[in-house]
Amino acid sequence: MIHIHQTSKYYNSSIPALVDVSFKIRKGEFVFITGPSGAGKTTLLRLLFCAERPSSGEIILSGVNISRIKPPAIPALRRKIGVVFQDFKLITTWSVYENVAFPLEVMGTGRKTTRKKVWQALKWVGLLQKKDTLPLCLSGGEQQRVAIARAIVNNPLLLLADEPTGNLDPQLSVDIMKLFRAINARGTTIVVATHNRAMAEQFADTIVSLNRRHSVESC
Amino acid sequence: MNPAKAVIQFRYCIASALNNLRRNLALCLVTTSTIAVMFTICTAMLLVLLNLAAFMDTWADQLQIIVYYNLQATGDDMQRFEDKIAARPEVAHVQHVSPAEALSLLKSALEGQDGILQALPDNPLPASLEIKLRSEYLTTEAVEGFVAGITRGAPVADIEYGQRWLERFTAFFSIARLTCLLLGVFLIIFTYCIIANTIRLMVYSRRDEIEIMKLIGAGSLMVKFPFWLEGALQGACGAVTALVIILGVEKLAMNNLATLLHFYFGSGRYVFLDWPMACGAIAAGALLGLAGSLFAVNRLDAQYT
Repeated sequence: MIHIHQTSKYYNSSIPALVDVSFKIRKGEFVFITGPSGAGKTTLLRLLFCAERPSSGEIILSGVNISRIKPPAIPALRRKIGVVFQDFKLITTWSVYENVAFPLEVMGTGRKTTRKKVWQALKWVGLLQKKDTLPLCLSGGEQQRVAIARAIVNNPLLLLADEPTGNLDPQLSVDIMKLFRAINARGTTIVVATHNRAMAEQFADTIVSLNRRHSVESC
Repeated sequence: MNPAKAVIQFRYCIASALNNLRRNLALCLVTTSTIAVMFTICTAMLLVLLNLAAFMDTWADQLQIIVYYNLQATGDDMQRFEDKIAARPEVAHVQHVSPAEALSLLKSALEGQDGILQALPDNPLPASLEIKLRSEYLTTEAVEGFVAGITRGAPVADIEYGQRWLERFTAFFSIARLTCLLLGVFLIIFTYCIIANTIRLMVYSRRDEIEIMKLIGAGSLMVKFPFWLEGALQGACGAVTALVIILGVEKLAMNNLATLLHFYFGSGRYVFLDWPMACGAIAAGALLGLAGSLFAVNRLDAQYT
């Protein structure tokens, strides 16, 4: 499903974020990308949803070379990917329902279908009763679950999560990982970036380790 | 794109624009008020210009050249002269006024004071010819050229056509038109900048939201369209408010103003905005708002990947 081939990313042409990274992810896999802070985990995820362009190398996603994708095609690609950001990136002036419904509205989904899917997603993450609440009135764990609901509401092919448990206590972290496991069981490929190696070993099908931005190992 | 999906997305954009206006109500009200003030001034200037032009037309309709014959002119002289004048292409109508008719007109004009005229031994008034020109020849240059052309070798003592007044009014009208035009252009640019900067402020206050929308897969149009709509709506609302203000002032003051116009200019006719002009003003407001917001969100694609 994803083929990253000799991909490098330099900022300002000289500051390396990723150097010569190569690995493959199969459809339906639950993959953890681990490594210390600054190893390039977030950069790698940003390359996968086209928030960044690689300086060299190729990234093939479902047969599309996204390293050469033209800007107008990026929104369509992003609609096939669910992303859970480390800082949640919820729109604070919108209710939980509106935040989760947004990817469906972007796709032009009808009102009834949207409501049905949003309710399902919120039920899935256990937040249906908070659908009218503003994100800032929720706890960190709840905000993270809203972000997950938003990422899965349109049944994406791929779910990317950047440090999804970075701000959560251990019990909540395990709950979130179980949620990811359940989403993965429905057939969604999941890529989680985390520095928590123990968590990765507990839940991953595959672990990709980034070390000093360039060495990659899979196990 | 699937038309049904496009309709849903369009509906979403409209709802989003209205929600954004509601959420930024204070900023929106300030912008709309500013636009309303600008449009009120522009519309008032337009009305002044239209009324000046209408007055010019009315006055031109009434303009006539009065040729006073000299006292030695015989009936044949006057007939030849009148035939010659009537044959000219500029002339719409000629009317001979005999000395007796002139005296009668003067008496009716001085009704109640005709004792003044009884002191005169004879009728001192000369025969005259009233000439009306066709509307296309009612310019200062054309009237002056016509007058210069008819006086050579004619039995004429004097010609009157309000030349000094005509020149002054034409000059005043030109200056008024230029002033209104310059002020109008300045106000339109000012309004455009106000709208553009307000939308930029809104974009800035919602930069996180825009970034998130783009990251989740919203296309460029879906992000920009609500801002365009907001600009157009604010412009149109400003123009409607301005029209309401102008209409209110018209209702309160125009009865008196019509009397004043009649008193000073001899014409009670004044021009006010009709439906096409009012619709045009609203469309202009919407277009101005749209132009301002187009400029404000022009660089969104470059700012947010």
